[in-house]
Amino acid sequence: MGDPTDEALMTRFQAGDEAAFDALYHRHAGSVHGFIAGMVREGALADDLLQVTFMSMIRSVDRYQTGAPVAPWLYSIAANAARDALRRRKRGVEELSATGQLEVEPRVEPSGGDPGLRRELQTALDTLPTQQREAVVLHKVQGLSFEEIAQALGTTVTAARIRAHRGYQRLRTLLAHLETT
Amino acid sequence: MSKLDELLGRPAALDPATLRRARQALAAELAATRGASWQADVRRLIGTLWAVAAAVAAAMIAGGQTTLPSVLERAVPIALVLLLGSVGAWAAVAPRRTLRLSVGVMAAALGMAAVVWARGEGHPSTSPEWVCTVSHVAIALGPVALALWALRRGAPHPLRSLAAGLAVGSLCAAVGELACTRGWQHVAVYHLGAWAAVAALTVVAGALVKPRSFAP
Repeated sequence: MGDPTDEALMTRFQAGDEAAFDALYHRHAGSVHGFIAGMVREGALADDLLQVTFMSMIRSVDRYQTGAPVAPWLYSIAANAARDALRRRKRGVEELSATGQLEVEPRVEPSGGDPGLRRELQTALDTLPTQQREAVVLHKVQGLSFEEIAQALGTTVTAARIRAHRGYQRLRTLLAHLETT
Repeated sequence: MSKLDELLGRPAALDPATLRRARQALAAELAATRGASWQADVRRLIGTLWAVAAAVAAAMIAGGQTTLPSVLERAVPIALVLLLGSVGAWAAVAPRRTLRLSVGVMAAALGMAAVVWARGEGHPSTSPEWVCTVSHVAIALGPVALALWALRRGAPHPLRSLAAGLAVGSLCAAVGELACTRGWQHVAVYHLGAWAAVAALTVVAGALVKPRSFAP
């Protein structure tokens, strides 16, 4: 017998089965963390938001619609948490800017591949509007389909496709020199 | 595959120690009693709207500001706005669907149009007109707090807060139907003004309140 599906595990978790939560956690924590890290560019904050995402999952297990795909629902929580964190960070940065005591290069913790290239990619990703960055990271990094992205971001498949396409085009322009080296 | 695709396809790896730490931090939350449900939040909010309206009606009858026959005469518009408010409360608190939220906002718009349309020319009164606005907003403060409590259990969204604020604002219109005898112009400005103020208050407070969950 194969592994239970996410949806079966979620149904068991809704009934109070902690082991089902553990299975879901170990199955998705890595990819959810990867998505959040791509969004916020700060290792410690990504770690915190991973916790916040699964904390929200526990607290709002009643809001999950039985049978619905679990991964987009989880990414939806992660995206909401990341947007909230980015908004708060932006507000904090603006407040600090007003006092002239600003230090703002976000910390990036590169891993895998050339650290310099990863840093460049992160910097380019950071210049994208949040919606485009979400779509690019979910599609190109996490490998989600546009249907899943649409569910996660609460939008239409067409809008998800357009956001990812525009974001990707912008990244290609920003990182054009990579293709020529 | 381009270099960019190659780079994008190599997500940062998660440190196993981080994974363990985060799991440990979640243990307490898992052990805590669950059982809260958004359906219970909806029932509580709707129940509060109807209960507050009933309590205000009882207090007004007891205080001689209105009579039972007069309240019964206006029972249909009062019930209608509270019913539309109940739809709005459900739309705001239920797991988010944009269409559902729009239904909540439209229900409130319908309620607003109905209370103005149902009121005729009315009769003059000696009390200042703003008394209606201030008293309606004051009566709605408790339900606003309850709505914010319910909203905290989901991801913050201005449309959700607006739907919740408009739902609670329907209470203002219901209270306005209890004793106020002024004409439709007064209702359009001072009663709907209170309704809009309650909705605006909920949107502003909803953006400030820290959510307990980011689930849609």
